[in-house]
Amino acid sequence: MDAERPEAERPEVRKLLSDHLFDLAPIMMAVLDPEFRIVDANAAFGTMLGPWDGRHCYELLKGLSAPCDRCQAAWTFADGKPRVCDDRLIVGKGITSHFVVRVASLAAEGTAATPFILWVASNVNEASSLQRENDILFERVPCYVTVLDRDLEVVRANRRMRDTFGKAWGKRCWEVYKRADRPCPSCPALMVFADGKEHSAEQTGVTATGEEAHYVVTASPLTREGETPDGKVKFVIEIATDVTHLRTLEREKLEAERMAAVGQTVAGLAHGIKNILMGVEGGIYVMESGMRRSQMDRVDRGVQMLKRNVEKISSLVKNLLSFSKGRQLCVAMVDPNAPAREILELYGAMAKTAGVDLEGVLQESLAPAPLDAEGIHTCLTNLVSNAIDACQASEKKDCRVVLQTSESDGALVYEVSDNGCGMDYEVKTKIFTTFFTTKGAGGTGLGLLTTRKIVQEHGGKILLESDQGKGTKFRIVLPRERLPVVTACGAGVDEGQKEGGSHGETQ
Amino acid sequence: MSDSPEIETRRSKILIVDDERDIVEYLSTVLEDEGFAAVGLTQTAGALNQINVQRPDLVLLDVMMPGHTGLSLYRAMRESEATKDIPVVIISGYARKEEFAHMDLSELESGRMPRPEGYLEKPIAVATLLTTIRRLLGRRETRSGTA
Repeated sequence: MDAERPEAERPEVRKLLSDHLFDLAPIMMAVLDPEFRIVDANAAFGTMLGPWDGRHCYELLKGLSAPCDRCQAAWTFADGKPRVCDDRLIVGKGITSHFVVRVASLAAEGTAATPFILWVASNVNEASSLQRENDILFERVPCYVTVLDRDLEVVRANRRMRDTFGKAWGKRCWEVYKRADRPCPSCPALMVFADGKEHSAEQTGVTATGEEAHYVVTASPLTREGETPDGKVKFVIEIATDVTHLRTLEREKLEAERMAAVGQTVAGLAHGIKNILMGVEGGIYVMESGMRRSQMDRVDRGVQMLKRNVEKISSLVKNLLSFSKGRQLCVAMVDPNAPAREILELYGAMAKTAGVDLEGVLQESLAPAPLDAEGIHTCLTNLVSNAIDACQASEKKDCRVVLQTSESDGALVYEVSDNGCGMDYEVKTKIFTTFFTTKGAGGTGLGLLTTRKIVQEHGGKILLESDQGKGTKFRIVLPRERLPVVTACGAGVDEGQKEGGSHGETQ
Repeated sequence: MSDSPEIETRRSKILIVDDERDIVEYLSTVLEDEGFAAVGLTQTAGALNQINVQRPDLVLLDVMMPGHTGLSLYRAMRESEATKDIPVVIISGYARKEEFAHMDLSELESGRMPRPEGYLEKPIAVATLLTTIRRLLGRRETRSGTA
């Protein structure tokens, strides 16, 4: 009996529905013709928007005099497919509200053309609309975004994060980002949990496909005010920007600079060798011509020339060896002031004998840095001994050399200044580009070349200020972010020292 | 040492400036052996004065020297009325123009100064040295002969 009643009543129910559903629906509905004229609308539409008869949708809903640029209805008229979009509509004088708008074709069954469109709009409040925008932003922003709880567990991760590092939810951040088994040293998220402030760090992770990824990550408390009412941060949001491409370019540039330095060095070397070669040829010429003429004094002169040039070759070779010794940097985390202190100790007495006042101005508490301490030692040796020479070449009474360390704009700075003889323009232009010495037989012309090479291998640069008669200042600037990575050799030395053993470096 | 009786005229005088003492000695010996009068200087300080006093027929000049460099001397020679016509042959461990740009010697080729009459790259073959010097001196003779 019960089964029959609905059967019998169904046509009646359908009739009632088709007559009244349109006006009963609590959402706005309207029917548009291909000119976007409103040909029918339900009660909710009339209540919300007032008289509509004969008006265009764009006038009434948007206050426009022509159809919208990206009109969903026009597309549906064209292809018959239903559409949905977010939109803001005018619901009263100067009042707009957020809606989700759906359009669908009202075509008779079996026909292709769309004579009318059903337009349906449901109001959404501003909060949910913003929520939607935030969700889209979170998902689509081209950064790795994660939300971490106090256990550093990932409670949310955006699409870029998941696509690059794989499934993140429920894992610890260090597992996802680095495939590591413990938190990173100096973890910015832990710092945020500790002090409630924003922290950044540059990190290297491993992607789901096993590739290295460099990123700069900023961790902030996940609250609008910056901290939670009880003063404890409950969640941290980490936003990481991928800088792998940038780092690769930087590495390539550094490598190119290093190669250029090698090229310049070789050119300088060739020049030096040519001079010696000519001295040797001269010796042979003078000796041979002396023998032909049976002039023993001439033979002797030739032999002396040969001897002098052989000596030059052996001195050059020795210097070359020490120059090439620095080829493989031996990088370890060291106190940047340590090499400077050694130099001050080493040269203190010698400077005093030379009548030069050697002073150290070291900025205390410089953070340890990955440096080849021996290389830096060589650089400072060259600069300080040059400075002392420059003082001796000057006629001033109160000559002074200052070795200074500091840190500015993220770069370590070693500065060696003197008030000695200074350099003229032409000397300044040549000191780094040639096998150049102003010390005659006393210099090899390799000191500054070596210094520059070591500085460049540390990703830094060496700057020169000099005035003839007034003095010279060399600055070695080593940006921390360009410093080399700690090498196996560096780590090996550390371990060796810890164990009290000697490190097996051979020369 | 006038062991060449056929030379009746004044021997051509060549002045050599190079900070490498052995190169000066070598070139001087070769040139003396070939019948030239050679004067050697191992520093550029006072060189311009020497050139004025000695009045050489040609100068062999190393441009890569410390302190007051060879390039400055060359510039000074070209700026002085008394020395500007003396032919200068640059001797250098660097090959010509390609490397001059790196060495800050492009001034020599820039046209801002008269160009040197010759370049010789070290190590210098004796035959090339003599040919170059004789060619330049011959040109000078002809020029002064016609003047």
